Order: sequence, then structure tokens, then C-alpha cells
Amino acid sequence: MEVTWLHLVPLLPLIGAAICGLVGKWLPKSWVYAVALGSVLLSFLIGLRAFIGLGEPAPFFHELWFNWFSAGSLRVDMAFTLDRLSGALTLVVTGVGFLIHVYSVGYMEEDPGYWRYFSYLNLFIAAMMTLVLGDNLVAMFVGWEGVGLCSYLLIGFWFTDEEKAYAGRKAFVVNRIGDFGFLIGIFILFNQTGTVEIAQLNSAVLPLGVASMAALCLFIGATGKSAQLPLYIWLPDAMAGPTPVSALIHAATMVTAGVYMVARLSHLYVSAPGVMAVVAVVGVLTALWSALIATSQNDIKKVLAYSTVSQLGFMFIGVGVGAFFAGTMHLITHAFFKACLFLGSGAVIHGLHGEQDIQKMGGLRKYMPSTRTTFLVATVAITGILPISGFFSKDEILGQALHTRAFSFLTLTPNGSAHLTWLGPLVYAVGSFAAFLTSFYMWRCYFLTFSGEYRGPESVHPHESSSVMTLPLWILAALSVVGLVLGLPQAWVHGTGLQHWTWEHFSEGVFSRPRGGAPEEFSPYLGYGIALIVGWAGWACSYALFFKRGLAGDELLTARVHGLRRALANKLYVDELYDFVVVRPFWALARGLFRVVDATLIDGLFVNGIPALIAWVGAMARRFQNGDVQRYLAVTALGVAALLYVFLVRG
Amino acid sequence: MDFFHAHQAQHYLVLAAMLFALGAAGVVLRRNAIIVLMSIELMLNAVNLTFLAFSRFPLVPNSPMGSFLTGHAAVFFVIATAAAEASVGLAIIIAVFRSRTSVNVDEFDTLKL
Amino acid sequence: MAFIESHLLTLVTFLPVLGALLIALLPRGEGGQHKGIAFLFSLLTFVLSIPLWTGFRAAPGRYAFEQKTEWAPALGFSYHVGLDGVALLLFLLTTFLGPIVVLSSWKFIQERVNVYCISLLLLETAMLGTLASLDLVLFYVFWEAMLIPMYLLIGMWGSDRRIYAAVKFFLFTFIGSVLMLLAIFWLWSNSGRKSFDYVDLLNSGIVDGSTQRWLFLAFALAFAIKVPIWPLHTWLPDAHTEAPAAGSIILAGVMLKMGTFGFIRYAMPLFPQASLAFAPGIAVLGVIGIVYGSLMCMAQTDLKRLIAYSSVAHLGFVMLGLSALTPEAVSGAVLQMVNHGISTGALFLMVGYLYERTHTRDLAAYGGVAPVAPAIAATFLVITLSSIGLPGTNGFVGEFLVLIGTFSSRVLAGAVPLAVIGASGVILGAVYMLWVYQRVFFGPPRKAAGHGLQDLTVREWFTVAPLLLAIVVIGFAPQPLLSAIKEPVDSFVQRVSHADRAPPVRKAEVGP
Repeated sequence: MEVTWLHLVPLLPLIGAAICGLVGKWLPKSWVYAVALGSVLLSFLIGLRAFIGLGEPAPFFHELWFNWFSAGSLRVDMAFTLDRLSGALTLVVTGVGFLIHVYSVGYMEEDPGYWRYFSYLNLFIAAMMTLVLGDNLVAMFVGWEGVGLCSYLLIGFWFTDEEKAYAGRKAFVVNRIGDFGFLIGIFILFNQTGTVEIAQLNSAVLPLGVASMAALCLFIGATGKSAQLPLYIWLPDAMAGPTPVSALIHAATMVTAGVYMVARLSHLYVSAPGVMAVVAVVGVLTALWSALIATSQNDIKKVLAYSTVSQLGFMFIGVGVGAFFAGTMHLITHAFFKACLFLGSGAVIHGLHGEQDIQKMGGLRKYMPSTRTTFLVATVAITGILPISGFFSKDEILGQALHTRAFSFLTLTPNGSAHLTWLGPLVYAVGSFAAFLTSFYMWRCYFLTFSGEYRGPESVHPHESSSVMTLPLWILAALSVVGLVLGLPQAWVHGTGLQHWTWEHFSEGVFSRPRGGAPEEFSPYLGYGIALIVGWAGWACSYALFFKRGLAGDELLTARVHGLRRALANKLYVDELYDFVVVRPFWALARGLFRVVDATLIDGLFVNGIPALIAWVGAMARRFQNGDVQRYLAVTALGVAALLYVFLVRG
Repeated sequence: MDFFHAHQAQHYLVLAAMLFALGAAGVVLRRNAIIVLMSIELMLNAVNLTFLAFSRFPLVPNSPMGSFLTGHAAVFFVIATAAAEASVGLAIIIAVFRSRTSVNVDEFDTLKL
Repeated sequence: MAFIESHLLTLVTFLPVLGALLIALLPRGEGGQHKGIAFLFSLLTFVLSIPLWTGFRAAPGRYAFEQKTEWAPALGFSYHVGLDGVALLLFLLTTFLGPIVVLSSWKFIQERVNVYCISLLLLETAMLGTLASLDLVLFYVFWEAMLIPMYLLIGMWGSDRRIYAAVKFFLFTFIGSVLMLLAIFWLWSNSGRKSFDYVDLLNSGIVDGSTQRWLFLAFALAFAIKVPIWPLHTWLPDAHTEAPAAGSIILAGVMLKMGTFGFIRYAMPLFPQASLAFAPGIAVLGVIGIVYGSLMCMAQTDLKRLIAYSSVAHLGFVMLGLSALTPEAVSGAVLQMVNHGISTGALFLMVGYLYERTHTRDLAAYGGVAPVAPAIAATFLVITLSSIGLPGTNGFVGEFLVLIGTFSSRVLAGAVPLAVIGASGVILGAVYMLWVYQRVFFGPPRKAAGHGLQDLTVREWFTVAPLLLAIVVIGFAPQPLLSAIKEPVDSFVQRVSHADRAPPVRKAEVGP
């Protein structure tokens, strides 16, 4: 159904960003807040209205806002589509975004650059909405790069600190590497089909080779934006920005763009089952890798950052095995509890006047009850020890991985002998181990922060944050619980009114099915059982080590596996490796090329060399003119004689 | 040499050639400016001798191309020119000598690059 | 009134010369008056060029505002001017940058102000004439006329090595155009009608194989040096570094585009078969320019030199697009010509202001400028984003069109790998530009940020704001520009990409 108001969803925050950025410095503080929060709230309400209006007669709303540019056979419009998937995501982004805006009012109270901050935050919402609602790949790319820009601006918000500024730049450049892949993917698809519109691409017939290349290139973009191996390195450093930024951008919304993109283009990906296998493998490896690193981090934000990378890995497992609904469901529930966790950590940091090291925390349950409770709820959600939202979404992914049929006809060798039917169960096993680690490190984080006794310095008096900060925490915690409805198994809710609230049912028509078909109906109870055991096992290990003993638990672990622990604490030296293998050689190459080719070869040899040669020839020739007239005469006479000889004798 | 009308001319011509060569060698090789001038005079006189030789023993006898005294007339022109040139040349040498106290042509090299 | 309408193009082109004449008649000492007149006339030129845009009606094969006056019919050249879509855009870019350039150097130039203003105005006329001319002799005259004022600008008001840079610039460019002159004469003598007129030459039939290649190379050399195409680029960093800010702006903003304009207007359509044959080579050189230019940027310690190399990288995109010979790519290339003029011109403008305040171009001396001068930081950021092609700024549309057009080109050999390597330019651009930005603006304050670095003054705002506006407006609404160039781009692509199918026409059969 064609509408004319859909463009307001990204436009209003954009206008808000312009106002805050251009004149916010001179406006009264309350006006800035009103504009910033108001624009996001309005976007949310419009999105909500649209979402509720989605029904059988209008499975989606579409708007062609204007023709952005066209040349030759390429036509790129600024056009938007709100269907069930993008509608849900719109609500998540603007809703959680609004809560974080509210939270930021408290968090950035004393910062003189608050107007800049809200401008960037609004700009981010605008860009994210363009990404989500864009009906063609180029519009999506606009949002894609736009969120990258906001990430850069917000990570490096306190730019007088060289390290923070560098973190922002690192994020942008690494994202750009991914964007390069995204662009190539767009080119391949345009070359093949002549269009960049998603709706048309999702119904086009794509030969295997082309689809695989395009899907792979687009996935490279996803690894950049969604911080998967090997381009995840920017996300932990992104914690240099203000904590609400980490909550919004690097947990709830921007980083999920990659998952969203894969889900949006499900038709493309099911046409390229080999790439789906790659997605699943990358996802599970990333999940494991970063979970391991998270067990040994002491900065509360870094723990959550690696946790985000790990959970994103889970989402990619979901979409990689063809269970697009599972991956996107986890996207939604993760937005709730991870935002809650980050905002909670922000409240902790704020209440401790800037302390981020969990080694200096402890016993905070006494000082910050609201924060503690919401953090606890969110931790329960992410680790899945009780059946609330995170439990269902994570388990659904793993269950789908175990029973998937998407890989059964894929083979490792060309002649078709080694079938990859074992890939699904392998992903399940590794993923379950990662889930165990998730439980372990999250509970470690909780216990070390809130349980036991306070280990910090005397001078710091921990206190609870203002209600403008704790209210969003409560709302998000509530959503983390209520979100369980999204993931209720079909067997339980079949036929009841609740069925329409489950994500699997709701998103039925949006995704394509993988080539092998959907997995056969399987009973979820075994999966639930194993998931609960895994979660509780993690909790138990953490409890034993950290609940009473506090930091002594860390020391015990370090004593046992010293080398491994140190490596993990140093993030497995990935940044150092990249620096050594990629960054340094690159700059050295640039300098070397400059000295050798430009300065020496081109300039030295040719540009300055040729005039030097001419000057030398001139200097040689100059010797003929020595001012000796007698010599001149002699030469003239000889010349005349020669000429006479030639003309008279030779003729 | 059989395209000359009279073989006697060749003696004069050979003499004139030798004088011319001596003069040319002197112009090119001698260092003293006055000697150079004298060599130029020698060359001019050699030319005079050539003119006279051809005037006395013309290539084509009894030709309508002017009288047999054309060469003699040319010699007068050459003598006059030589006199003028010698006086101007000596005046220049004296002027140069006044500023450089030398008549060594090797030292007059301000024309060089 | 009708007289003005039919002669509008000539009027706009020569208006700056009028201003220069006026300045020449004024007494030498009145610097303020000189600058005032220069600004007035350049502004007037811009205002009068707006009707050129609004009154532009694209028609296939025809030129807008065409005017032809016989000059020397016996010799075959006439005063023939006119605009097509591509020339129109560059024409407007030139008049747009004119007043900005004059206004930007208001405080900086203190000695011989009258010569400076005259040089700027003459340069503007020369550039406008180059764009408007439809006669090869006229084109050549204006082309050469660009050199002297630029030489003066660099050599008289530049930095330490200005003489070397000015001479290098002049000789490099001049050598290229001499060969072009020979080619022009050859065309004249073999055109059947002994005409220098562009339209006549375009319709006069195909020159045969190897001769055409040599002619193309002669033309291409002149333009390649101007663009500049690797490896003929080494005059550019020196010229930009040593030139005064206004010189750099006009050099990067417009003059480099003369080279690419020469390709799309003269070198390629006049010799389509040769262009087709050489297109892969040019594309490769373009891609080398992109990668090499970006890498060079990373190795620089001088702020202006770095931006000069970024020009090489940007124009590599343009050459890649032109040689891909698809409508998307060529449209993107033309759009990038305009975009590059705006964003790199703006970069040089800001760097010029920084230099005015700190008197150093050394990157090591910069740091922490943002808290001291937030307006400069903010505008520089927007311009940086435009330079790296962020969607929403003008740079994105052009780059995207070039790359997608190259990727899907059926005409160019090796199009896909070239497009992929060219696309890596987006990564490299972000690497060096953000590095520079962080180096200059972020982090702790270093030497340059110290001595009371002043933020943007009102006058400076007036020079920057139009550029920022252009960046954003073209970023969001590039379609009007793309519509204007659609027709010439299509006919260009048609002519060159199908050149190998056109039957060769003997020269003798064509003509009266």
C-alpha cells in the first residue's frame, strides 16, 4: 500500500539533528532535550501506528519519496518499505532509542557538549531508520554508512583524548572495509539483474555463482558492521564513547544491521547455500572467540562489548542455518537485555564517578538497588537460566542449527562425497559451549560488580542514579521478560491468541526457505533441557568462583591456566597482529612508494632529469663559443671549403 | 688545368693561392692583433693578384662581358677597401690597447658564452 | 535585450576581462579598490551565469546559447561558442568559485594587489572561454591563456619554492599542448573543408587507423598532463604546495577539470576508434591514480601536498568513469568533476585559512585545533566527509555511479577487476582523510593550535557557506545536474562505444 508519510520516520530525527547541531549551542537546555527526544518519540509513534496497521490487506506500506538519482539504466529512489520485519525493527530502534535518549538526559547532564551529543544521536536514529526502511540497496547503504558516521562521531565524542579519537577513526575505517564488500555486492547484483530494489531482487532468479559472490560480498559488509571475525576489532575499542552510545549503537541497533541485511535478502542467501554455511561458521566461531575473551576482561564495558560480538555471532548462526526468524528474534530480544545491561553499567559507572574496572567494584547491590535488579533480570535473560526472552531466542537458534537441513546437500569436495550434514550439529555443539561461556562470564560480571563487599577506594561514594536514568532501565528489564512471548514454541501456543505474538508466526511470509527445506518438526524439550543445564552450569561455576570469594576466584583461575588467561586478557593479541601484518606494512609501503617512485623515479629521473640533460648538452655546446674570433674564422673557412667541395666537386 | 685560356696565368694563381693561404693561416693562428691585420692585408693582396691574373689572362678571350680591364678596376676597389679597413682596424687596436694594455687576441674573449 | 540574450555567453565569458581592464586603469596603490572591483565583477559574472542554467534547454546535437561570428574565414577559424550540458556544469562551477576565490584572499595578499586581481580575472575568462569554445583555434588560444596568469599566481605570491613550482607547472603543461597544436593543424588540413570548427570536424568522418591513434595521443597527452594522470602528475603537488590559497582553489577547483573536459569534449569524440582502443589503458592508469594517489597521501607530512595527492586519487575516478563508456559511469565521472571542484576547492580554502593563521603546513605542528576553533573543525569535517564520498554528500553519488557503471561495462576490457580495485579507493580515502583530520583537529593541542588561533570570521563564513550548501544540496538532489548532462553523455557513449561498428569513411568523400 502506497503512503506518503513513511519518510517522516527518518526525516524527523534528521531535522532534530540539524536543529540541535546548528543552533543547539545557543538554545536553552530544555529545548534541546525537547527537540531531540520529541523527534524520536514522534518517529516511534508513527512507526507504531504503521505497525498496528499492518494486516492482511496491507502486508506492507511503501513510499517513493523522491527519485534520488538515475543515470543510464540505473534508477535509485529514496523509497521506504515498512513490512513486518522492518516494522518490528523500526519499533525496536525508535523505542529503545527513545529510552536511551531519556537516559542520556541524565547521563550527559554535566557535559558541555550535550547539544552535539543529542544531535549525533538523532542523526543516528535517522540513519538507522533509512537503513531499516530503505527499499533498495543504495538507500540501505546510505543508512549503512550514515550509522558508521554517527558511530565515528559518537565514539570519538571526547576527542581531545587522542585514544578516544583514534577509536572512532578505527571504527570508521574498519567499517569502510566492510562497506567496500557491500558495494561490490551491490554492483554484482545490479550487473546481473539491472535493479537495486530489494523487492525485485528477492524475486529474481539468480544463478548460483553470481548469487554466491554477491551474498559473500554483502556478508563481508556485515562482518564489518556487525563486528564478526575478522572485522570485529573496532567494537571493543568503541567503548571509548559515552555508555548510552554503546548501548544504542553498539548493542541494540547499529551492529544488528548486518543480521537485518542478511534476513532482508533471505532469498539471495538461500540461493547461495555455500555462503550460508560460511555465515553460520563465521557466526559460531565469532561467538566462541569473543566469549572466551570476555571471560578475562576487567572493564565492565569491555565484557559487555565482547558479549555483544558473541551474541551477534549467535544471530548469524540463526540466519546462516536458514532460520531467519530465529536470528532476527534474538536480534530483538538482545536489543532489550543488552541495552539494559549497558545502561545499567552506565549507571554503575556514573554512580562510581567514572570507575569502570570491576576489580574495584563489588557489593553495589546495597547502594544501587534499581540498577542491581534490572541488571540481574537482564543477566538472567542473556544467560538463559530462566525461561524469559533470551532463553527462548538463543535456544531457538541452537535448536534450528541442530536440526537444519540447509547444508545436507552441500559437499566439501567437487565430486560430491563429503556431505556437510554434520555442520549443523557441529555448530550446535560449539554454540552450546559458547552459551556456557556466556553464562559463565556474565555471572562473573554480575557477582563481581554487585555481590560481596565493596572493593573500591574510600573516597568514592557509590550512589543510585536519578530516576531519569533508572526508569529506562526498568522498562528495558520488563521488556526483557515480556519478550519471552516472541519465542514461545509453536507447540504451546498453537491455536491460541498468543500464537500471533510469536515471532515465528508473525514473520512467516517475510523470509525465504532454505533449499533443503525447513527442518522437520522437532520437540523442543530436549533442547530446552540442555540449554538450561548449560546455563545453570555456567552459573554454578561462576557462583562457586566469584560469589563469595570475589576476586580470589579470578586469581584461582589465573593460577590454573596462567598462559591462556593472560592471552585472553590481552584479547588474544588480535589488534597487535593486525597492526604488525596489515597496518604497519601499509604505511611503510606508502612511504616507500613515495620515496622510490615519485621522488626518485618520476621527479628525479624524468621531470628534473630531462632538463638536467638539456642543460648538460648546452654546457657542452657552450664550449664552442669561447670568444676567440680567430677560432670562429677558422671554423667558418673550413665550413666554406667543405661546402665548396660538396657543391663543385660532388655536384 | 687545361680549361684556362693561357697557361701563364697559373703561375700567378698559384702564387696568389699561396699568399692567401699564408694570410689565412696568419689570421687564424697569430696572436698579435697587428700581425693579424697584416695577414688580412696579405690576403687582400692575394685577391688583388688573382683579379689581375684573370684580367690579364681572361677565361674567354675577346668576350663581350666587359673590357679586359674589369679585373684592374676591381683591384682599385680592393686597395681602397684595404686601406680603409687597415686604418679602422688599427684605430680599434689602439683603443683596445688603451684599455687592456695588450694586443694579444687570445685575451679578447668577452664574446664567449 | 535581445542582443544581450543572444550574446549572453560571450558577455559572461569576457566580463572578468572588463574588470581586469578597469583595475589596470586605477592607480597602483589602492589595494582595497582593486579587490573590490575584482569581487564585484566576479560576483556579477556568477549572477549573469545563472540565466545560463535556468535557460538551458538540452537538445540532441545542438548547443545552447550558440553564437558564431566569422573571424578569419580564409584560414578556417571563427568565433564559435556554445554550451552543452557538461560544459554548462563546469562553466557554472567556474563562475561559482570566482567570487569565493577573490573573497578568500582578501587579507592574505598585500603586495601588488592589482596584478593579483588582474591575474585572477584573466584566469577566469580563460577558463570560461575554454569551456565555451566550439572552435579548435579558439579553444587552443584560451587553453594557453590559462597558463600565464596561473604562472604568475604561483610565482609571485607563492611560498618558498614558488619559482621552481611555477616553471615546472608552465613547462609541463606547455609541452603537452604543443603536440596538441600539431594535431589540430593536421585535422584542419585533412578535414576536407579546411575548417577548425568543432562541429564540422565532428561530422567530417573517420580518420584512418594508425593516424587516428597518433592524433589521439597528441591530444591526450596535453589533457593527461592537465588532469593529471599518473605518471604525469608530479607537477601538481609542487604547484599546489607553493601556490597561494586562492591559486590552489582555482587550480584544483577548475583547472584540473579542463583536462578531463578535454577528454570528453575533444580527444575522445574526435577519435572514437582510437579512444576505444586506448580506453583500457586509460582505465588502468585511472585505477593506478586512485590507489597510488591515496597511498601517496598517507606518506605526506605537508598538509597541502597531501590534499594535492588526494586530487590525483579523485580524478583517477573520473578517468576510470570516462573510459568505462557506459552512461552510468560517464555521468558519474562528469558529476565527480563538479564534486571534486567543490570539495577539494573547499579543502584548499580551509587549509588556506589554517595557513593564514599558523604559517605552517607541517602536519607535525598541528593538533587539537577543534576545541580552539570549532567552526573550522565542523566545516572541515563536512568537507572531509564529502571528499571520502559519504552518502548524503555530493561525493557519494559520483563515485557510486562511476564504480557501478565501470563494473557493469560491457565495452571495457577487464572492467570488473578495475572496478573492484577502484572501489578500494573508498577505504583508502577514509584512511588518509580521517588520519589527517584527527591529526589536525583532535588530540592534545600542539604548536599550531597555540597562538590564539582564531575561528572563522564573517567574511570567511561567506566563502565557506556556499560550498557547504553545494555539498549538501548536490548530495541530496543531484538529479537536476544529471538531467542536464544526460544528453551529451548519451551521445558521447553512443559515439565512442560503438565506434568499432561505424563504417570507416574516407576523408575525400566528405565535404563540399
